[in-house]
Amino acid sequence: MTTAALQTALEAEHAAVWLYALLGARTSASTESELHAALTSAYVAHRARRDTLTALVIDDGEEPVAAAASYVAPTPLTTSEEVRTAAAAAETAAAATYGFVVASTSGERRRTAVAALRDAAVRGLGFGGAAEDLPGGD
Amino acid sequence: MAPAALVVAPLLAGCDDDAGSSDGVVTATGDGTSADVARVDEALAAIGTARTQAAAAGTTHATLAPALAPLLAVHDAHLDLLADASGADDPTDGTPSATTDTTGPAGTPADPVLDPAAALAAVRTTETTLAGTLTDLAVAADSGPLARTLAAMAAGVDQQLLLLARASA
Repeated sequence: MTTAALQTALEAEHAAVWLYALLGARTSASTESELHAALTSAYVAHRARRDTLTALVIDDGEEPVAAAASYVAPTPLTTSEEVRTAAAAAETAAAATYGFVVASTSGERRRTAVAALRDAAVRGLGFGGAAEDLPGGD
Repeated sequence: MAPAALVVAPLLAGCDDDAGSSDGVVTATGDGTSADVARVDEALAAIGTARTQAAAAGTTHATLAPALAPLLAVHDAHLDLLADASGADDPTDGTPSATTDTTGPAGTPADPVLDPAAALAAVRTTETTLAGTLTDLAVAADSGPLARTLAAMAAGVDQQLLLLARASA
């Protein structure tokens, strides 16, 4: 089950990396510098988690799931508010995914998943998401 | 958000579908459940202590009360959830007692004349410690559902820390 949970998270991270690349491309680094920096930070974080998960799955002797050939972009993405909403939704989804991983793992893998859950909760709030009693706990 | 009763039921079950799997992902023993009860009690105590300090800061410095209200609400929700799981009495009815907690986050004497900024900084320090405690308990938990709940509580505290940082900016 551990590896299956990791594969689920890896699928989600592939999608998150793709989404943040898109959101970054839709955001001006000059006129929306703060948002662009936050998106870049999120992209880097999710890319690092994707790579970590890939390595863990390989360590377990399994083939890491590959990124999908294409993803469906949230729409519309014409304003910075819409970009923030999409990013917040992505982090809410990430928190839920890592909540599942927390419940399905133990030891250092669980600690890594808890850290990812906490990061997603804070990052989502930073993008304008709502604070919750139990982010990622559902 | 799911009603607490729906979340509590599996918290201390000590096992899930992974129990007994070859990689030992989630252990499922009576001892594990007993240890998880102790972890819930430890979480209750840590959250209760943090809540007491935050409530005291809001009482001493009325200007902080609005910023601290959401934090207190989150603590109350967490305490209710864990109290339901452990069978403890309502933890918001005075445990630990505000009248018995006279130390600051680092064991230093509490200072009732702290200015609001200092009081808020002390609250943030305690909350940061609390999030770390909840994380450690989540990592140690034998029950996967309990681990997830404790991790989510840590994340909820993290969110409140961000809100407090905004409020004090």
